[in-house]
Amino acid sequence: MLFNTLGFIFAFAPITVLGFYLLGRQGRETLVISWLVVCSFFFYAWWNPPYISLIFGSILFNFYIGSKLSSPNTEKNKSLLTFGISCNLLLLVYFKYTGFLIDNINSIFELNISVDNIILPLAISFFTFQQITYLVDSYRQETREYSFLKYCLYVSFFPQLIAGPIVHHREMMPQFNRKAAFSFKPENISLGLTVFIIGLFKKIVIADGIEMYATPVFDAAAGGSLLSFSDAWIGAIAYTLQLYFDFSGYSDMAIGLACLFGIKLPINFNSPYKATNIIDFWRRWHITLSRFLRDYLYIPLGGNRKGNFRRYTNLMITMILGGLWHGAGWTFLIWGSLHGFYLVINNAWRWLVYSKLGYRVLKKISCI
Amino acid sequence: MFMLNSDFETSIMTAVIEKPHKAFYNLTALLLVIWLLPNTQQITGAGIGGHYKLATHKIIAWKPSIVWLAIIAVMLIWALSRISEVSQFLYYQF
Repeated sequence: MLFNTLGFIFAFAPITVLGFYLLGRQGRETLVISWLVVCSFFFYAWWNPPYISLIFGSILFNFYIGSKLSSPNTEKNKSLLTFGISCNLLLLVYFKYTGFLIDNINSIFELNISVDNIILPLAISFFTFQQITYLVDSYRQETREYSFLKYCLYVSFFPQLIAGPIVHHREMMPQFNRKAAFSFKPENISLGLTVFIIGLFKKIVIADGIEMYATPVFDAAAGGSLLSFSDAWIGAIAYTLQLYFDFSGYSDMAIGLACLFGIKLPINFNSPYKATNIIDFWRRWHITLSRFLRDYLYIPLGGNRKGNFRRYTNLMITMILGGLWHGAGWTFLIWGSLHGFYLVINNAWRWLVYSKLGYRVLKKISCI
Repeated sequence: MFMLNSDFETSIMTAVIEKPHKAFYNLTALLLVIWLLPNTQQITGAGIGGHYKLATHKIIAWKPSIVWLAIIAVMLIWALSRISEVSQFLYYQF
């Protein structure tokens, strides 16, 4: 089910919100959480009902591993954490990258291996990353969930299920555990509706409106046509804007919907096209993904703790994998590499300008 | 303004965008919106991290009022009037 459909706007969302507050008035927490979980699974199943078993299986597995990892009676179990993360990544690799890997193996070794068309399950990239954060946070004893029902809600909460924001267990569940979590507040409804409608406007009126300038240009280029100067620029700028309004519109809708339930989701965009450099851009664009990549990949790789060379290598690895996360294809890999390279240049420049050693190096170069 | 339908174009090029001038004005307007106006979180303060509200944008900060109700109603009606043409999100099935 999509946020920008009449069925969602006039049936699913109002019924879910109404049920939430009517059950909330009775003060029975389990009933309210169950309602939200059932509605969220229904929302997911709308796309392809059989795939509900996949997300449910993933939730069950990660809850079990997470509870083992966070148990205060057991010693830190790194192999269990590695096993949990590997299983999540294998599932993602199977559904998302099998076709890409087989195509490349076939072309390199001139083989003819064929695989059935694997359907990419909805939201798998997001719920996989979200649950990896839970496993790592559990291992670090930073969070713990005793209730399977609440864990189901954490993963499946429909405003953020399909395309984020990628949330942490520790920033979501305390909100549901508040005493006043299910009490009706008119200001939440008015703010939530406002943000949702702003997002809906961004998506339908702006993003879909300028799509007519982007798609024909990219289709023509893909078809081998030679583009004129103006067409090429219009297509590139139009897609830049379409992508921003589409995704920030989605994120606004997600934040607005969560607000209807009195829940605050983390923001995903902070005017990225106002960024003054590439480092600043990645702090403003898809913020929750950048946060995930920083905290669960870049820093565990060593971050900037082991000198500049390791720092730039870690940056490149992080951005290449971040690029691949966006899609199984060489273009995504090149895109990730390019952004990694830009970040390395930007960071190296800062080091040259702002550190004493860098300043001396810069001075020497300028004297030559 | 950059060169529209310039001499660079040769006979093998066919114009993909029929009215490049209109596209140019529309895209310029959107760029100005992006660069000059505050974003949703700055206007409403919604979401974790959306705490910029009111600090610098008192005039257009959202508050429950008739004016904001009218603005949001217009945006909703405008969006609903075009809802039959909607496409999937670019990050859908990701």
